[in-house]
Amino acid sequence: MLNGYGGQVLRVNLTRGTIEKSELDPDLAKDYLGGRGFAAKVLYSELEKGVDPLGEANKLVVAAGPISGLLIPGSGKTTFAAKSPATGGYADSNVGGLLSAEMKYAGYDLIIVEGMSPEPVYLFIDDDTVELRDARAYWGQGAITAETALKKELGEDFQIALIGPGAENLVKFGCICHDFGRQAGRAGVGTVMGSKKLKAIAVRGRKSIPVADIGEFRRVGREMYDFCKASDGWDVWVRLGTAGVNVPSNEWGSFPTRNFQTGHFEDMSKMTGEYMRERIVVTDKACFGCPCACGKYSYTKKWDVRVEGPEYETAAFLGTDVGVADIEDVAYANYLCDELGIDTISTGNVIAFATECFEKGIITTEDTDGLALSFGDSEAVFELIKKIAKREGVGDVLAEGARHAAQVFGGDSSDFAMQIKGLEISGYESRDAPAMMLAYMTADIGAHHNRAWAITYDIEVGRDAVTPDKAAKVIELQHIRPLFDCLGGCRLQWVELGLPLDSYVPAMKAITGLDRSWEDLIHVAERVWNLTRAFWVREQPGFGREWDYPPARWYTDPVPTGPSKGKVVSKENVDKLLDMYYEQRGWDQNGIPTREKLDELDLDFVTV
Amino acid sequence: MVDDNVELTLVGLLREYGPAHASLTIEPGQTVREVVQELGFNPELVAIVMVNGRQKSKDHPLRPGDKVKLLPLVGGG
Repeated sequence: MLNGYGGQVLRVNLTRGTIEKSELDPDLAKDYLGGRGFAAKVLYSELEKGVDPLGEANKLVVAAGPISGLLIPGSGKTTFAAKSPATGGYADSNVGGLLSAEMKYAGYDLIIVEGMSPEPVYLFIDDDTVELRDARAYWGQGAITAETALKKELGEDFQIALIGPGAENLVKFGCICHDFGRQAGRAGVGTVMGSKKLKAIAVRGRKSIPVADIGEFRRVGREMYDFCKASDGWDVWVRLGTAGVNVPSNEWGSFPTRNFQTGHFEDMSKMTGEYMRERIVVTDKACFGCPCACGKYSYTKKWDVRVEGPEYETAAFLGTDVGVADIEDVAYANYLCDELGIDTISTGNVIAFATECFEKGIITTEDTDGLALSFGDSEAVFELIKKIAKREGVGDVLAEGARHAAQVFGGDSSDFAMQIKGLEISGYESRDAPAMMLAYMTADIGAHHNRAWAITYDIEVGRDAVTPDKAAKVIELQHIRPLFDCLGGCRLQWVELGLPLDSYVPAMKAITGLDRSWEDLIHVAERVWNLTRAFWVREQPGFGREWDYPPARWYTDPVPTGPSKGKVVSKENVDKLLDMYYEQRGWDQNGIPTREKLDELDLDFVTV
Repeated sequence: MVDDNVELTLVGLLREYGPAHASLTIEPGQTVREVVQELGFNPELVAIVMVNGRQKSKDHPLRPGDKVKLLPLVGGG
């Protein structure tokens, strides 16, 4: 019995229709902890080099962590991972909610889905009973519709992860959806699920999780909860959720606006977290075990739909980045994406890209099926969302992502296709924030903010500085934040409420019985970071520094308006940031981990 | 003259720049930004401004009796 874990691995082969159970390897738990750590190890070790992300040989990994399902604040995260169809590199994406807790109560820390089913199926898990079931009746249904139907069929106490029509149609940024409006949204993990014709995973567990020292666990857990509830930030965070950041981000000049042409939107009066709260929020919604419900569940009378959100990122990409300035229009676009099961970040980003191409005359109505595109036209946004999910007309081009669409549209459009490594950049304009730009350049799934949210460090120490401490901060955050993804936890209690990081040390000791220091846990996070980098090196011939460059807009076009007017990070400084980063990471000057660094991290099975 | 005052709460790292809770005398119409500058720190370090439990911008003019809570940006998170 492994304390802190469900104890079993479930391996499902959809081609053969087989299901195998095995015991979780204690060494895997020790060296990789769980969640993203498990995912990176499984994908690196088990995938053949060069597999087609949408082919039979790719694998979808679902992983819980050692705190999942236990009463530790924020223990509701589940990791999904695969070789990405959007980028061709490593991808993991996590979702908050109730899934990983249920997985562990059923006894499973890790589910590895292999092969490809000839017909749509769903994976049914009810404690020890595991079956593949016919899902033809659900195929084609929207994610929220199908989740409702599955809950009706199976019972409310089943937790469900599933895909919508976008992922079925192999849109490259298909999500894995859960709990009526939450998503593991990035880099196409849902698309991999769609390629395997796996509509859903439904889990119910009724066992318990072994804990090494239950008395100490309860004491430490209680302390962590008490800290969160007593935090002066608690009521603010619950009132506003991530949409509370809309206003400060716009004040910092970092709120993506009109395809990142600038970072400041003129009229935010209908876009603030406060306006959203008063206008459309119905109630608060929390993940498993969370004391600070940052999810907002909304109803927009204007469009007569219910939706979870809009979150900060969605407000940026289905709002200001496409020029839309009314949170109710954002909420409707959010609802469409959630039901169709496509990532709001990438969807808004590619629509913004197409709109700029249209306004610049690079594409015309001949390329857009007669649809005239202009920033601020919410009806056109709704139409394009549907076209993308159905892969219809111009939607078929945009469904491949911004990098591909730029190749099709031509002109100089690749200079402002706002992506890195094939993943659309998320919600922070970074020309006045070099640490944040470096965070995007080096994030290990492509340009995503959740590996290091460094913009606040830029503001604190001076925004223009291109100095070694900024690279050091990015690296520090790239270990801390992904460590949460290994543990199965949420970092927002730390970031937003100030929950001390070292409180996880006695918690982990009480749960697992192993006495591990914070440095030891961070060492695991560094091991995983180097492993995912090595995955890119293996999968992409010629991988190196060039892959870390941002789009040309970020080093050639000064910000035209707002508080960051005139700012840009020069190409020289882009290279300087990478030089400092690679050196501090112990990588060579092309960004490849050295043998020495890999050996230091016990990654002897890795070749570069 | 308590009525002329605003109640100010600084959260987290902002406590390096002032007391956690304070009662401050303000000029009528003074903005949050101006109050922060008078306390001697950079308004950019404030991420979220709450006045009487509602989110406001830093340029929101204050009135006597207002309860103001300032949340910091986290230096990397």
